[in-house]
Order: sequence, then structure tokens, then C-alpha cells
Amino acid sequence: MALLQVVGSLEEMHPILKELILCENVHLNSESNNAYSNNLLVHEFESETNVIGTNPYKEVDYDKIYNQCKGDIATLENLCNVLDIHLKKDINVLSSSSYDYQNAREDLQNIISTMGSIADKISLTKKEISELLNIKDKFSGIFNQNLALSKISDLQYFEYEIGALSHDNKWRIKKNYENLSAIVLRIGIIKSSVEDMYIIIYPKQYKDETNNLLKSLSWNELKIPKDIRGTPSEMIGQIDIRVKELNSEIEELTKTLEFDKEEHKYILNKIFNVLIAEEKIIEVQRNVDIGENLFVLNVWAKDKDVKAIEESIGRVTNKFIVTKKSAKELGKQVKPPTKLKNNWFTKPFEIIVKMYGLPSYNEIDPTPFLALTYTLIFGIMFGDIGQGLVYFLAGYALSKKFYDAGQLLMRLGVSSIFFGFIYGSLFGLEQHELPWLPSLVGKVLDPKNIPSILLTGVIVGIVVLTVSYAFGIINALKKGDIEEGVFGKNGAVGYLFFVSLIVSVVCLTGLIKLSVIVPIMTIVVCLVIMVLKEPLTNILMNKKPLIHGDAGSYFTESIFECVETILNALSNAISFIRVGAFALNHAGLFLAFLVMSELTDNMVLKIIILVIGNILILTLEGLIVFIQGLRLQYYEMFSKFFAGDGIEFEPVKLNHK
Amino acid sequence: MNPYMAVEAVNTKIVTKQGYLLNKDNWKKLFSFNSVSQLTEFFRNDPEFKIVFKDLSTDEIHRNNLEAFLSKYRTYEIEELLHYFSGHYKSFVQALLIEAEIQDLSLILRKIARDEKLNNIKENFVHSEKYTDLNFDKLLSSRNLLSFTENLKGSLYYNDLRNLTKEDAVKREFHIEMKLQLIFYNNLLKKSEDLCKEDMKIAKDIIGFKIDLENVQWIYRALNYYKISPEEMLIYSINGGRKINYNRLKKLCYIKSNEDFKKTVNSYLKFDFFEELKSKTSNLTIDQHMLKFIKKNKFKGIGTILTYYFLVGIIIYDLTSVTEGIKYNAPKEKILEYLSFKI
Repeated sequence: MALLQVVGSLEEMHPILKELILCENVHLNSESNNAYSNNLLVHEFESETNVIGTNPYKEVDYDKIYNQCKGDIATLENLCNVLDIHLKKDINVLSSSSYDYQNAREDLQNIISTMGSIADKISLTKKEISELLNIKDKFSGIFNQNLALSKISDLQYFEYEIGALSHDNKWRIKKNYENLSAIVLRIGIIKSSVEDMYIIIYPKQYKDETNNLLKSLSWNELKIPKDIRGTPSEMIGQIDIRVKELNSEIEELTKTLEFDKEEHKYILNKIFNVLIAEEKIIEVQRNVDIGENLFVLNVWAKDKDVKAIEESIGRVTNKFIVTKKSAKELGKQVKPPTKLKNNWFTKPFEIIVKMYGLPSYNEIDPTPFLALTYTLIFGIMFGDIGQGLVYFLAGYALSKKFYDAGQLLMRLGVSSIFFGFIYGSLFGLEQHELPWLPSLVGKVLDPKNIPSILLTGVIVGIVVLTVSYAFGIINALKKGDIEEGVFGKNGAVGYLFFVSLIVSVVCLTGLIKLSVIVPIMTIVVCLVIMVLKEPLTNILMNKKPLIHGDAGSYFTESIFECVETILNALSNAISFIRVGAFALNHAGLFLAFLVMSELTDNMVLKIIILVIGNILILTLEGLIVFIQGLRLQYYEMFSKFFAGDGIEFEPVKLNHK
Repeated sequence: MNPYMAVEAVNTKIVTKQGYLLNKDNWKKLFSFNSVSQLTEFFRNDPEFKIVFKDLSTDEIHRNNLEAFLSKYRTYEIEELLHYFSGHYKSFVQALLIEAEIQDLSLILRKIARDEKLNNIKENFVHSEKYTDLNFDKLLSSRNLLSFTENLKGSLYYNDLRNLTKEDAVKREFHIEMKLQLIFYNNLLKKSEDLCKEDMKIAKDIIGFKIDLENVQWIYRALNYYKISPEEMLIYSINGGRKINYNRLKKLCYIKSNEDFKKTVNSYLKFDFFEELKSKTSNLTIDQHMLKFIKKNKFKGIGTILTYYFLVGIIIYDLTSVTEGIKYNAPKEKILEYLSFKI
């Protein structure tokens, strides 16, 4: 990753920014920079291009242009909505530099003036149809479909209104009914609403008073078009006829536009692209540092793209400078964005990593490690040929809509199938039930297998934790953090402490012939070093004072941290027992269903019980294993080496929400 | 033990805060200031208020700004106390934040109705950004009342404001305020239904007392200053009063003479509501009665946070009055008259 400083003249800022957007491989550096005032190259550009004073910068009201642009896009979208034209992003139409924002606006105005009135008419008619359908929907909720509304409207001294009222307000009006100068009747319900339909009949002389009252009650009047009359069922009939008429009107109007539509399809899409490009340019302009007559923009790009970016800008001008500084050169003062690079196998696992956080630029990307360990751990915990195959197929189906999630499930399925062969398990059935089934270790729940399966879980844990410690040490040293990398609880001394703890347990079991005193002494030495990590680092770095702040509070904090380290180291390793335990649990759960199925002689019932058992295992147990696997990754492993505070590399592109 | 509320933690926190806010030495210090800038400096360094006053750039502060900053303090306090609640208790306490949200909505609404610019309006916002369901940026982009109400779609406020016209917003401003106030109290009472039996009773008791005071103030104003029908008065009255139930409210709305009204109110409330009303504003009267009520009844459980919320409201009003007094060089004795809290 490299930080590019693009310097150009103000006159050419617009085309340069446009090129940067169109090449779709630069990430805006949002951090503040003092590029203009500090960089010699910027001044060099000024003298070389001799642009001083030729074009003084005029204040530009970006908000105004931005809003204008947004307004134009909305108008265009409305028009295309009516014309049923699907607008799409097309970079190629923007390659011509002669067709600019002003041209697009003019063209849009011309099209609106020729087609706008018809399009407006279509839009209004569509609105009328939607209002009529809304009225129809409300009328269909009226209890008495033969209510003679026309008779009420013929009354000389009374008027009526139909509308919606909430239950709460209905209660208010009901309680004071004797003082009202109107009749309020509930005549129907409105589906999917907390309001009901009411009719209010009142003497004409109390119109104002009634209106004020209704406003206080948040009355939502249903405005019925004058030409629709009769009973609710008659009105519904009239609405259907009217909607039909309006639909044919739309059809007619659309036909008249059909010729123009084809003609304008290309140009409308072109206008759309110019407008969204302009919108984006303004967004980028807000990040630009403006000088007297030049601009500076800082962007991040991948090293291999730098040449292409320079060539893109070179197509519109030769008065520009692009300086490049690699992330390494810039050191700790900047925070480069991260672009994850993973192969076909590990890529789907990025979603799990991103759920925790993105690695920062100098951090090791934990995705490959996670992909490998997660697949392995899942397979051990959920090993079954048949159920693994179900996951694989489900993943395949899911990947059509959610590619990464589906692919992830497929990989977990394969791992489950692999371990299914090791355990010899097909939909929970083992060699005892299916003698032809291949198996490497034999029955999972075999008493001689149980201790080795649990032990395997712990051994897997120790191995993955070793790698996690290694990553933690590398990450800390990359950041130059000796205190954490060497003397910290997740550093080299922390790891030595962890290993000593394991060795002491092994010594106690008598597996190796070593006095337990040796590892215990190492543990004590490690703890002392961890307590003194800050002064030791400062001695090593030749810095003073040895302890920053109050020494008392430093030691209290350090000692507590050590107690936490002891507890953590133990729980970390033991935590991995769950890997073996879930393998046993998986077999045990099915055993329960198998026993249930053996209670009946009915073959159909037997099959039903086993199928239900498999469904429960696939859904509930599968989910639990998935979550437990995540827990091990996030809590036991990531906490050792992964901060996850990186920024994702998001190139500026044309897009419109 | 209530699993949804850390009772002891809340009590301890509130007792300490109350002790600080009502510390008479602090109040006496306020009266020693001769200019608003001294007062502003005091708030900036005050251990309680500095958290909201740190963003204040100017020394000269306008009444509205000061009220906004102090109201932000009330919002901040509730946000902080929310950490000690969960489940239905949390959503009940969260419902208190709606009052601040309503204050901001009214502000935007007023500006839009009067075609005024919405620039810099954000600095006077007092709502909780953490706990609001409204998209205030979207609301601020509203070009007119119609788009404003459309932007409220799906919120607690939409049904009551959807038919709002410009004329309503300008000429019937108090109608909108009453509607919004109704939303606040109705929602709060509704949320109190989910608390445990004992806490629900306490909550309804305190909220009911405040509702009684608000209703009396509203009907009194409507009878004297607004030309509206008794039916409308009744619609805008809040249900759930402690002493004044619906039938009593109805009776009050239809009383013709002022004297009869006062007599009936006092007989319902069992104290003289109008005792000092002649010389003071009705807001102040409400605050004074509320303060007396809070001091007289030592509420426990959910009552501690509820009374604290109302107490902070009263303190804010008093502090605003002190600032006004100092700004216009009013004599100290005169300022004291306009405070609910007696030093």
C-alpha cells in the first residue's frame, strides 16, 4: 500500500478527480494532512508549472452544487421510473471529456420539456390510482357494504365525513359524547392499523367547531372523489372501473412516449452517469486541500496500481505531480487501509474475521489461520459423513444468494465429511448399525476412545495457542512494542509461562521424567518478569524514568494482571477440551435418538425418529458447535494477537444510493 | 431483589447527585456572580455540569442556549443512569428521554412552519443521540411540513402529526405542544404498566401528581387565554392524574367562572394550587408544588429516579432564572422570588 500525493492545478482539478474516481482503485485518506504547507514538491510544482497568480481560487459553494446535482438525479429518476427505463452505472459513457455536467443538465432540461409533461401526467395518474386503491382498501373494511352514504349526503342540514381514528382518541370522544354536537359511529376496521373507520355526522352550522375538534383528535379524513357515490360496495365497483380507465390512459400515454423512450434511453443513461460522477467529484473535493492555485489530494493505492493511476491522470493533463510514499516509509504516523488478500479456500472466512474487526495494515491477517483451525475444530466437533454432506449441499444452495456464507458452509461440510470417515459415522449411524462403513478410529463413544478424544482437543488447543502467541509476538514487535511483545502476558515471556504451566501438569502426571521444580521455577521467574515488564523495557531501551506514574499503583496493577494471567493460561488450555467434548456430545445426542428408535418395532416410526434426530442435530447442535468454534477463535485465540482496529480499503467508485 | 434495576447503586448515585445539586453553598456562590461570563465559567468548571458545558465556545450565553445546555445535562444524567437498568425498567427510564426529543421536534417544527433556516439549530438539541429512534439529520433535511411529517413515518409521533398544516403549526402552536405532551405522558404511563406491582404504583403516583399539575395549568390557561371549546380542552387533558380523574377533568373543563374553577381544583388537590400564582408564572407554581411533593414523600425503588428526573427539571428552570436575573442586574431578593428551590 502506498500513500499518493496528487498535486495539480486548480483549473484541472475536476478532470483529475474524475479520472481518479473512474480508475476505481484509490482510497481517500481521511486523516488530516499538512501536505500543502510542508511539502517541498508542492512548491516545486508551483514554480515548474508557473501557475502562481494566474487563476486565483474562487470560493465554491459545494453544498449548493451538491444539492442541485441531487435534485437533478431525483428528477431524472422520476422520469425514468415513469418510462420504465432502468438506469445503470456505465463508466464507458464518461470517457468523453467534452460532455460535461453542464451539457448533461441542458440535455435533461430539453428532455423534460419535451417528454416531461406526458411523464408528469403518467406520474399523476399513477398517484391517482394508488389513492383510489387506498380508498378501496378502506371501503372494503366497512362492515355494512350497503350503507346508503348518498342518503346522508343528500341531507339539507347535515354533513358527514368518513375517516380513521385511533382507539385512544375514540375513547376520549366516547367519554364526552353527551357534549358533542356530532354523531360518531364506528363503521369498519382498517387492516394492519391500530385505527378504525368512523363516520361523523354533524349539523352544517357546527362545521368549524367540529373541524377543530377533529383536528385535536388527529382525525384522518378519507377524501372520497366527488364522482364516486353510492354504497361502499357500489363505490368499490366504481373505483375498479375508474382504475381500469386510468390504467388504459397510462398505456396510451406510454405508447406516445415509446418512440421517444427508445431514442432517449442512451442519453438518459449518459446523463445519469455524468450526474452521479459529478456528485462523487464533489464528495471527493471536500477532502482536497486547496492552495492559492493548486490542489493537493492524499490517497492510498496498491503499489501495483500506481502506474495505472498516473497514466489515467496523464490522459487529461500533463501538469501534475504524483509522489509516492510506501506505508513502510511513513511508519507509525499513518494508518493505511487494509485490503485482505486471501485464496479461494480462505476468502469466505473473511466474514468471520470482519465480524470481530479488520486487521490493521501492519497486523498479520488472521484469516488463513482462522480458516484452517476453524475448519479443523468444526470437523472434530461435528464429524459425520451424511450431515456434513447436508451442510455442503445447503452451502451450495446458499452460495447462490449469499456467496461467502454459502462457501463457508460448504467448507465446514467437507471437514465434517472428512472427520465422518475418521469416526465412521453416517447420519449418526456407526459401524455397529452399518458394518460396511469405513472408520479410522472406530466408535466415538467407545470408552477407550473418550480420553484420547478429549486429549486431542487439548493438544489441538496447545498447538493453536502456540501459533496465536507467535502471531501476538510478531504483531507487537512489528509495532515496536517490546514491553508487550517480549515481557507481556501475550509476549515471549507469557508464552514461556504458558508452556511451563503445561509442562508442570505433564510432569505431575509422570509422562515425562523431569522434576516439577524446574517448570515451577520457570513459572515464578516468568511472573516476576511480567510484573517488572515496564522497568525492564525501559532499561533495555535506555529510557527514564523506569516507571511512569505512581510506582505503587503500577505494581498493584501488574500483580493483579499476573493473577489474571495464571487463571487465563489454565482456562485457555482447558477451554479446548470442549473440542473433544462436543465430538462426544455429537455422538451421544444421536445415541439418545437411536435408543428411542429401538423402542419401537414399527420401521416407519423408527425412520421418523431418526430423521427428527438428524434434523435437531443439524440445526440446534450445528448452531451450538458453530458458536463454540467462534468463541474459541474470538476469545482464546484472537485476544492473544488481534486488535482488529484496521480500516478497510474502499476505493472511491461511482455509486448512487 | 429487583433483577432489572440495580436499586442500591441507583440510590447511592442519586443521593450523592441530589446532595450536590441542592448544596446551598453552591447556590450562594451563584449569587455572588455579577456577570453571565462568570456564571458560564462556573458551569464550565463545575464537576457536574462541565460534561455538557465543555462544548460551549462563547462566554455570553443566551437564555435559550443555557436552557439547552442544562437540559442536555438532564439527558446525560438519564443516559448514565440507564446503565443500571434492564428489561422493562430500562424501557421505562428510556421513555423519560422522549421529553427532550419532543423539545427538539417542536424546535424544528416551529422553524419549518415559519420558513426559518435550520442552520445551527443542532447546538440547541437536547435529545439523547444514543437512545433516539428518530433520524434527526433526515428531519433537518425536510423542506416543508409535509416532508417533515413524512420523515416521522413509523415513529411514535406520526399518527398525531401527519395531518399537520402550516396554518396549524403557526396559529395552533399550543395544540401541537399539547399533542406532543400527551404522547410523552401516555407513553410513560404505558411503560409503567410493565414494572412490578409496587414500582408501578409508585410511578403512577408520581407521574399522576405531575399530570394533575399539568392539567390544572392547561385548563386554567385555556379558560383564560385561549378561545377553544371545552371539548377540545378535555381532549388535550392528560389521563392518569393522581387526584383528578377523567370525570373531574370533564367537570373542570366545563366550569364557567374562574372562581369556581379555583375552588374545585383546590378541593380536588387538597392544597391551594393558586396560592402564589398571582405574582408568578404558572410554570413556577407547578415546579414549587412538585418540589414540595418530592420532599414530602420519600419515594423508593423506581421513585428515586423519577423524582430525580423531575427535580433536575426544576433545578434547570431555577438556574435559568438565576442567569436571567444576573444578566439584567436584578436584585438578588427579586431573583430568589422566582426560584422554586428555597435557599
